[in-house]
Amino acid sequence: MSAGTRGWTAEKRLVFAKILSNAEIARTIYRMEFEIMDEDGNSYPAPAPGQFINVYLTGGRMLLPRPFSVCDSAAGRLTLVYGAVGAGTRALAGFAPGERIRVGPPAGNGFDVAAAGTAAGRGRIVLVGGGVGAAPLLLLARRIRETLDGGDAEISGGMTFGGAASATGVVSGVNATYAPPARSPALHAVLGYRSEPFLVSAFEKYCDQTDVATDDGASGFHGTAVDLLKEQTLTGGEFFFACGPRVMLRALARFAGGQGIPLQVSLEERMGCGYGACLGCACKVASPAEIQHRKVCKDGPVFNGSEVVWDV
Amino acid sequence: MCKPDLRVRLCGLEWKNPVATASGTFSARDSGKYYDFSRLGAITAKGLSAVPWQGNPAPRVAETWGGMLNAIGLENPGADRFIAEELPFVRDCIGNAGTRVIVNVAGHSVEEYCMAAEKLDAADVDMLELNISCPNIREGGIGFGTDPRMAAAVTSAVRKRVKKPLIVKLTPNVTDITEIARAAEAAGADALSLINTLTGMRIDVKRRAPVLANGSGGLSGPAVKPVAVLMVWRVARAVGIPIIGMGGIMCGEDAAEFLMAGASAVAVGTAALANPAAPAEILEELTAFMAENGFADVEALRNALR
Repeated sequence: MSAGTRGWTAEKRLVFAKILSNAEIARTIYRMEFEIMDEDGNSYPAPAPGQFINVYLTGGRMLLPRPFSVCDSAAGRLTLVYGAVGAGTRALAGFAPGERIRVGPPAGNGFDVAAAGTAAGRGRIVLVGGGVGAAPLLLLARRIRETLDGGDAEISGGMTFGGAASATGVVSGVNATYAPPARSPALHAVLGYRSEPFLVSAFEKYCDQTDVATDDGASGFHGTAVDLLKEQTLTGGEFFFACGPRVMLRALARFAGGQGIPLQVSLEERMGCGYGACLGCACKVASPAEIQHRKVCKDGPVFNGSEVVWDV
Repeated sequence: MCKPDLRVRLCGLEWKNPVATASGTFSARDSGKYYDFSRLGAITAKGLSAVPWQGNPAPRVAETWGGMLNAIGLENPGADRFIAEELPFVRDCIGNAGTRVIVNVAGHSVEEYCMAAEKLDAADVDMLELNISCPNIREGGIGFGTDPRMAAAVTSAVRKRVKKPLIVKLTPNVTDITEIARAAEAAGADALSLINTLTGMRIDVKRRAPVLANGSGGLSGPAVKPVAVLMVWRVARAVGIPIIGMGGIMCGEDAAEFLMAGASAVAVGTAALANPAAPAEILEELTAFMAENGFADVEALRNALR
C-alpha cells in the first residue's frame, strides 16, 4: 500500500475465467472447472485449502457475489463443487463450457495444514465432510499429502490436472504415484450425504481410508458422518478438519471437545461483499475481546471448532 | 471535449471530486486492496460509537431483487480504537492526495452521540456524519431521524460540542423528508446526506421465518435509487445546505442523476459490494459522462435539470 496517488497498484482484482466444464455429478450437485484468463499478464494466486472465491454474476437477482470454497486447483485452473439450490447457483449451473464468468482472488483464511502436522504427530487426520462441504476438504487432502509426505501426492489417472500447485504457488509438473496407505499420519475421510455420494473416488486417491455415510442409508453407513465417526475407534493423536452444515459442525465440535481432539471447521454464512468491508457475515466466537464477532469472509471461513459459539 | 473540473465545495471544504464512499461499505484495509481510494473526493468510515458495539447476530444480509437488506446493527470497534488503529492507516494511504475523511457517528442517546462526536472531532478527520437513520439498532438511530424535534435536539447538541463540519444523514422512512431536513438545518447541520436504507423484510417461506436474524433490515442498492433521487430533489429545494446524495448508485450516469437532482456530491455504497472497485470506476464514468456531454464542472451538472 503506497501513500497518495502515485505508484499505487491493485493487490486484488476481479478477473474473467473461462468455463472448461460444468456438469451435474450427483442430483443438483455440479462440478465446474474453469481457467483463469490472464489478459493483463497478472498471475492468479494459488488458493490455499479452505479459501473461497467470490463469483460475480450479473442481473437483478444476483447483485452480490457468490462465495464458493475451492475444491481443487492447479496451474491457473480451479474446480468448484456446488449445489444448485438458489437463484445464483441455479444460474451458475446453466453456464456452458466456453462461457466466461468473473471471479475474485482466493479469499479468507483456510485450513492450517501445518498445525495438523504438528499436532497429529503419528496419529490420524480425519476430514469430515457434509454434502457439498466435502468440496474444500478435497483440496485439503491433496495439500496434506504434499506437505506431510513431501513432494507431489497426485496419482496418475483420473484427475484432470497436469500439475499440482503447491501452497506457495509454485507449480510442479511432477506426477509421482501415490501408494496408500504406508504413510504417517494416516489420512481418513468421513463423508456424509443425504442420499447420493459424490467426490468419493477423488478422496480415495489421497486418503488411506474413505468412509461414506448417508442419511437414508442408500449408500454406506446409515446415519450422519458424525454418527459414523463416533462408531469408529479413536487411535489417539487425531486431528479433525470439517466442512458441512452447521448442525453437523456443531455435533462434531461437541464430540471433538469431549475427546480433546483439535478441530478446524470451515463455516458458511450469508455474505455481503465477501472481502471484509461490510461486516455482513458475522461468526460469534468465545473471546475476551470487546467484539465477539469475527468476519467469516476475512477472519474465516476456517475457525477453531472450540472458539465458535454454536448456539446462536 | 475538455477535461471537466470535478472540484466541489462542501461546508467550506474543497473536495477534489464529488464521489465518496457511503458509510458501512468501505474498509480502508480491504477496499484499498482493490482500488486507490485516494482518488476519491472523500471516504466515509463505518458508523462509530463512543464504545464498541457488537452488532446483530447472523444472518445480517439478504439479497433482494435489485438490492439487498442488511441488519448489521452498527458493529464497530468504538471511536477510540478507530482513531488509534484505523485512522493513521487511512491517512497514510491518502498521503497528500487531498481525499476528505468523513466519519459516521452513531449513538443510542443524545449523550452517546455527543461523546462519540467529541472524540472524533478531536481526531484527524475532516467531517462528521451524524447517523440518525440506522434502522437496525433498538434505541437511537432511526428513532432520532423520524421525529423532527428529536432530529433537531441531537443535531444541536452535537453541533455545540464539535467544531468540524457536521453532516446529518437522513432516513427515507418518513412521511415528509423535507420536514426532517429543515429541522436539521435549523439546528445547525452544515450538510445533509441522504438516503439511508429503506426498512424492509424478507421471509424464507421454506423455513417460515424471516431471513435476517434481526427480522427486518435496511434495503439498499439500485432498487432504491428512484426513491433516493426524488428525496434528494425535494430536499434540495427545501434547504440551503449542501446534500450528499446516495442510494443505489451503480454507474457514472447514476451519479450524474443525483447531481442533477441537486446533490453537491454523491456516495457509492452497495455497488462496492457488487464490485469492490466500484467507487473508482464510477468516478471515471462520471468524468467521462461530463466530458462527453459538455459539462465543464459539477455546478453545470447541478444546474442542468430542465
